[in-house]
Amino acid sequence: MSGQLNVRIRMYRQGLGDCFLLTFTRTGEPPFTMVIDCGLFAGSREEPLRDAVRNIIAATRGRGRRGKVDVVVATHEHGDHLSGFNVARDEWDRIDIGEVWMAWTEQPGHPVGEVLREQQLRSASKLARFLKRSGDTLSPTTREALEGLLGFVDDPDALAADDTETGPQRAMRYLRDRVAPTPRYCKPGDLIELPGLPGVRFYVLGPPQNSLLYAAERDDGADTVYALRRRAELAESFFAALEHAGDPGADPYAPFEEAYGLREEEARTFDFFARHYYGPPEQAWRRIDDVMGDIASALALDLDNATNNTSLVLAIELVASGKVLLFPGDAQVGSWLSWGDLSFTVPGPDGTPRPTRGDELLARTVFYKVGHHGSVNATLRARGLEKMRSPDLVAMIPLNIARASGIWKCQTWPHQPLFKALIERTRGRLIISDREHPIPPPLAPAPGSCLEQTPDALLDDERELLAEAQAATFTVGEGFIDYTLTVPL
Amino acid sequence: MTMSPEEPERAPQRWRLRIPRPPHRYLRGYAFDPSLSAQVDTVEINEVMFKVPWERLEPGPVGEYLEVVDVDPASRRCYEPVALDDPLVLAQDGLPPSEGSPQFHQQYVYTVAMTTIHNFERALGRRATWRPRFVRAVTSDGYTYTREEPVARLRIYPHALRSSNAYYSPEKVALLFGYFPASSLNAGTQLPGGTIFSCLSHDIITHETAHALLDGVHRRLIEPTNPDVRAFHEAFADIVALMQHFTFPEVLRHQIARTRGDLAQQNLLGELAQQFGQATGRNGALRSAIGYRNPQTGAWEPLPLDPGAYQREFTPHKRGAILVAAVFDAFLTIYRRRVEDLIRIASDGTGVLRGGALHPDLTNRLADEAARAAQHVLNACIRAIDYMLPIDTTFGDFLRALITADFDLVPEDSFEYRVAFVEAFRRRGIYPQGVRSLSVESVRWPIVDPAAFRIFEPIIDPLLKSFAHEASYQTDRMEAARKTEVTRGQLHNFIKEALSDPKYRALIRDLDASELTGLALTRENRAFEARPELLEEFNLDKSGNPRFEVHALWPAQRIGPGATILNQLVIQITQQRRHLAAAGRAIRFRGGCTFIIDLGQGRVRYAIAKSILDETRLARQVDYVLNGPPDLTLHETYAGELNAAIEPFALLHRDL
Repeated sequence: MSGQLNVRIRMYRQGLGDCFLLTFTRTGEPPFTMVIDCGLFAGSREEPLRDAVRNIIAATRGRGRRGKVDVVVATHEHGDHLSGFNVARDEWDRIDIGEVWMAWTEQPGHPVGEVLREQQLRSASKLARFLKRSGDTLSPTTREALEGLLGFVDDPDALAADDTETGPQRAMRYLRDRVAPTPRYCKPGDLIELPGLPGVRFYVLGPPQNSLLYAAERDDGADTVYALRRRAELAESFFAALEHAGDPGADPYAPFEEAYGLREEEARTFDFFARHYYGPPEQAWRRIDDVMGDIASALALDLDNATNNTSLVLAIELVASGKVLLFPGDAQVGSWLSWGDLSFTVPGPDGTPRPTRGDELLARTVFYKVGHHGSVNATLRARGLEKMRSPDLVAMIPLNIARASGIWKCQTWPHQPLFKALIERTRGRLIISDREHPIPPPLAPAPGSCLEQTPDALLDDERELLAEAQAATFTVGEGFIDYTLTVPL
Repeated sequence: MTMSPEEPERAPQRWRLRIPRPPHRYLRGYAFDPSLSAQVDTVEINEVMFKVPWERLEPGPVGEYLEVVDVDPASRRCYEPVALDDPLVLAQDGLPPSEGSPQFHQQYVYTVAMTTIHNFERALGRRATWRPRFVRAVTSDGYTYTREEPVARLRIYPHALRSSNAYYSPEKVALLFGYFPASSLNAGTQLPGGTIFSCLSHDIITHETAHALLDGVHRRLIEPTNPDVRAFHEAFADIVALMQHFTFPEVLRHQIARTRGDLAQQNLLGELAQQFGQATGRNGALRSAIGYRNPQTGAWEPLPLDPGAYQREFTPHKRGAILVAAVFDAFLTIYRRRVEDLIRIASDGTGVLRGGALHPDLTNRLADEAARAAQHVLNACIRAIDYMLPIDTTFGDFLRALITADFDLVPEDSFEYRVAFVEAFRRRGIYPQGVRSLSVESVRWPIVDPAAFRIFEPIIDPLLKSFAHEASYQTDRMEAARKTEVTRGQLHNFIKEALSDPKYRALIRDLDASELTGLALTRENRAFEARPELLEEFNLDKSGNPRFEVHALWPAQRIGPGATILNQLVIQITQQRRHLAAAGRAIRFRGGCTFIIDLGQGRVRYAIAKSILDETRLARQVDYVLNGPPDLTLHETYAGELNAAIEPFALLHRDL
């Protein structure tokens, strides 16, 4: 084969969420297009997301009236990756979709996926109701944690109102219905080559099949379905407390026979509890009324982590040049740790089969879509970023700094050490989708933030370097940022 | 004839005989947790009689050290407090063990926590205190400041959480225990779906109480300035729980008989939290110091010795497990040395026992030796914390502290205990920093050179004079805590007074006291002369000298074997710098010194320092704080950012 392949990666600037359009063009051939995710964090202004979908139509329709996307990739069931298929559904209806790719966990009837979906639905709606009911009594930290964590799934009000389907689940259902017979459900180790796109290989790295949960914590061989069921079971005992508050007779998880307990009203007048718990104001600091909120936010955290780790992770290889584009969704530790050992058998340059390991793909990565909006927890250092050794590495971070900082007041966005490491690895060729701040602004902790007032993380010369590198690398538009690379075919 | 409540009260009789206070209260309870009562081979040993120091108790129980308040927020219920001083309860040595009675749960948490406190006090040679509470206060002229308020009792909530969790909350100075349904899918020996109470596990209660006790001594050991700090907290708590297993004679004999004296084989003593582990689907204990269940084969196997683990494991539990294994290894070596003659006698000099059950006499003797060795190891580990710094600690520091503490109390090391410890640590790649060799002598903290006494004289002399006026032995803990606070203030003044003398300032500059103490108390310091900008990182007092804090001060009276008595005064002085790291983050860097003063001689015996001027240590901390250890799990990184400042142990102890 000869000629050139032009790859344009378009990151939309709709806000806190992921939406990417990839356009592969070979000389003289119609372009091949791929959308990876289309979403926005709950409660954000939706118009920019609609604009993004309209732009997808405009960019892919050629001479026709309808847009045409060859492959839609839905990485995982979170609103900030999928809400566009709900809020801009009328626009999506105007787009012809060739294939839909999802993770193996999305396959209907798959035991792991079913448990996960059931748990997401049940837990998210119950936690949302708990938040609505008790929000005012929760500590600000707990409330923030709960709102923020649930917000990744969907708007808490919507979650509380509907216990048949979450927003992202609705989006997945829409995408399943858009293709016949079914979407392609991808497993780690799968190698996808498309007849319409010679010279490009898609390596599926995640989600992992054995270590979907915290791989590092649970290496005792407990299998995933079991672990998920077990977790659901534990959550259930907590939800029972929310449902049957104050009625231990009806609460199947009440620890003792009803006769043993004093009701709160009784306890308040019971001398011992009046003196040691309810009564004197100087006792207040030791009360434990807030533990329910803590447990709720811990459950919400589990829920988000489990879903993030179901992210479909794709390494896209531009075969002739060996260059790799890495789209990890929001994969976290357990997933990252599993990629290195994957092995794919592909024909080498002389046609003989040759194994390619996950680590090698990381080493050849020239484009990295930064996971989870550049937060603290979605890019591994030693076993992740440091393995991306290509001198050509470029990175994009889909993030709205003001929005993220407003939700997570106690973190820096993007996470400073990660951002610094990225600058170093990419030599400044990285950019944030934020319309106002493609470079992070000087840190000004939001009111109520628990971050100490700190001077600007970026030194002036670093800023300059970034601005220069960005201007030379990216094409920055109002609604999107493009990165284009041309490789031999 | 029985008394009925209706019987009219008679005038109290005047007794001529005074009945002495009983030394102990006997309370029934589980040796481990309820799970072992449901198994034929352990049922006979699982109910044991605990002996806790006698004290008057209000219902709760609420005593001098502890207050059990049984509030269950999830069920919106409070459970009536048990009255252990009720004669009906006293007469039957406490309520009988029962999973279904919240009052027994209250009694059991009290029993086990008191046992742990008692062991701790005996080893440390002083009364235990809890983390003080810091309260914002306003002076009469409107100046706000933070006041330290001693907290008399650790609060215990036996049913605080409906979750498979239990933790110590430094913020509330409380232990919070959870309950949860056992797995319905794989509950081991447990009733599937039955309720598991973490407050009925000896190991979990001991572990959490040990966290609270350690935090009461070194409250800054929850600041994670290097990967060992949190891991040390976890390991220490596990070590106390493990070693306490050896204080139950019946259990010990039973397990010695079962393992035929080889405690490195699988046995209950070397494992932690059986029921919790079973109920959470682990097919065995939550943690073990000796072995693990091979996930492939399902068989129990001894823990392999993995010298690389210390370089590789960074999560607090996994890293802590390395320290636990090292201490347990040392214990096994000591035990084997203590029993080798017994084994030879019993085996006609061959050292190889014949097959079959051990002779009961031999079992008893082996059990005695195991108990003694365990008590010694437990004491040494607890005493070590007085010889540590309240900041930035490492496993290597702990080893040095342990060896030094043991040397002070037992100068003759006839069973080579200390060699066993150094060896066990070395085998796991844990080396103290800055020692020339791994001989016991070089691992010990160096004794202060008499040439340096001049540095301390102007301060120690007035301190000891004023200290002698106080009754050195206070029976009331709170009174003692308040006195100590006053003495801390006085010491601060003595130091300031001494420093106001130019001659003294010149003396400490010329003797380079900073080198010895790690403190920079005056501007006249060689480090500041070389790098004047360094001074800006310090908080300066009115006279322009760096501020310091008398972080802690306590007397300790330790009693060793052969009734050696050691009277010591432990003083910790700390300082902090606010260092702007390269990435623009302000890092709080602490340094300080633990002084151990021999009250018999009135001299400073040790000055155990972590220098506030140590730039290498600072660089390490900056790297750790900014970058964290490589690739922690989500739980760690996330919890670190989000919650650690408020409840450092809450997410750490979450199981699933």
